[in-house]
Amino acid sequence: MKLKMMYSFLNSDINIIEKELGETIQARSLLLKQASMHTLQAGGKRIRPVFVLLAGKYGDYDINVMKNVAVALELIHMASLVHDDVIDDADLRRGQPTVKAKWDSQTAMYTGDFVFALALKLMTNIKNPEAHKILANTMVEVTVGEIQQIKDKYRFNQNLRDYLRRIKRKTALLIAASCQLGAIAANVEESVHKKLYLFGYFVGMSYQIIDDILDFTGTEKELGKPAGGDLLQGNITAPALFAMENKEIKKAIETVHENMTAAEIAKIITLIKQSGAIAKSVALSDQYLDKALRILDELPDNKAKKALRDIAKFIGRRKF
Amino acid sequence: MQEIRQKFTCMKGKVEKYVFNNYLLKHIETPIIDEDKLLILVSITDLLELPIAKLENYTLSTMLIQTALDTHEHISEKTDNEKSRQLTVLAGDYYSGLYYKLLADSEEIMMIKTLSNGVKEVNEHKIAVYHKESDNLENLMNNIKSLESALLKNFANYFQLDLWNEQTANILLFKRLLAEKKQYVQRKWSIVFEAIMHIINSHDDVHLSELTDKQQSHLINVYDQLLDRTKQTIEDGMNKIPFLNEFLESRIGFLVKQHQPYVKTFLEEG
Repeated sequence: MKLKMMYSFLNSDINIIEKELGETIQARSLLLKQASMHTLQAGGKRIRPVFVLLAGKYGDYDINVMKNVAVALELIHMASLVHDDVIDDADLRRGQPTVKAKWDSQTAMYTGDFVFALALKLMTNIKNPEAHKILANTMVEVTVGEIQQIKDKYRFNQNLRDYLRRIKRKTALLIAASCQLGAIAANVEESVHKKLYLFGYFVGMSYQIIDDILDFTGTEKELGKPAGGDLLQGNITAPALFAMENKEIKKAIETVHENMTAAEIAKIITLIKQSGAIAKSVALSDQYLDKALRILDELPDNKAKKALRDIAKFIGRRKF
Repeated sequence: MQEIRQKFTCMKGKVEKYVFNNYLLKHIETPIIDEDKLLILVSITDLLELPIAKLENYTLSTMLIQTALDTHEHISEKTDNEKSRQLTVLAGDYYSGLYYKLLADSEEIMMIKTLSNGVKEVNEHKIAVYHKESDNLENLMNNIKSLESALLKNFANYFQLDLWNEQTANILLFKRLLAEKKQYVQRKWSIVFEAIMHIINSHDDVHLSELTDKQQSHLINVYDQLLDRTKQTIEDGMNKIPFLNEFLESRIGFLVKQHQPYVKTFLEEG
């Protein structure tokens, strides 16, 4: 089943969110509007708004309230992508030129800051202080995670705990916050919104581990870049960490540096794939997926619960 | 004066404590804390009858987002050091997150809205200057004035006490014009000089490094007249600043002395 089919009962509300995203991005400068819309129009799964809306179904769901959180979170995600492309010096995202490539880095910085401001302004329509505390804390943690990722580059003596802490901040926290904030916006009781937070956290962890596996197993066509890019850039992810349990492979991985040739890195990727590390990484992702599904068992039955279960399974077992 | 100076020093220390992260400082240019904007904030909050902790929180969070925006000014295509570029982006994002966290933790939702609006406006005007969208010099000056002052203007207007007037914005404009002139003289490049050249050259782009002596002289002449005019406006309206104090007055006096009117310089040199 396609991802969108899993929450088709939300279609009219997803359309409202899509329209609202476009309407929120209004700027005096035509160029600023174009640069902001550029990222928005590049598409994306809009998975954060979907989690917000589904979580809201556990309480007093009002799309006019929910849309503030859903749009704000998608805008924050967008702003961070625009800045990430400057960090990674990336020219393409989802097959489209990035803002940095189409204009330049400075324009990307202004656009990201602008979109981030729009997001927070919109979010202030939610008056519950708890929502802002959660979101603000998440945003700081996400940035600290990105700084940590740069600190940890080519640090081959890191362990699985370092990796898990990093992906928690990098990916899982914003998905967890999406679920929790959606619930809080719908006045869901604390015990339930805390469970939704945990669900989002576990799904986010599973999602990122799969993403890191695909970087080793995907083809250049599927990835839009050569396989093993993470390792070449010094990002030590789950497959590399599991593979390093073998001393010989560890030695080979420790030789990785950014100027390595494609043939050299390909050899190391093959070693990692043959080591059983991919299967161990999949098992790790599955552990998080199981935890996410078990949390759902504790929540009341409704349409949203089935959709959350299907989405969790989809992103935890996706091939791309 | 002593009291304002003490408050200023105390706040500066608090901002530094948040901004000067050991790891980041190893890799990025030391973030510049805009002391004039901090002094204006301290001078405004000095007039407000609110608990000190609340006022400090407002000032600190405003300076954090200001520093975030200023840090992002240091990104360019020319940065050779990849790690430095990456961490400069993240440092700005980190300060920006801290500003939101400070206000969220103290449940100041309306202040978040106010400052977010300021950040939005600042970036709109930054883009307009950076991409030379101004049709004429008046429009360009207004864009520079707004990108420098929108955050503080939103802050002051939040208290609905007529704390803000154009005079404060003119001071920030003047300071920016001085900084751009210094940069142009030192590096033969400045985004504001480029934008002016774009206007006086009927919207045709000319590289500043390729200007003839005559073009360069004309550009400096136009620029100095803009500085003259802004300086005169500041001097004429000094007493209109609602939160003026001795410390701020002496700082403004120091700033305006940094530029001598074009005619005077010409006469002295002639």
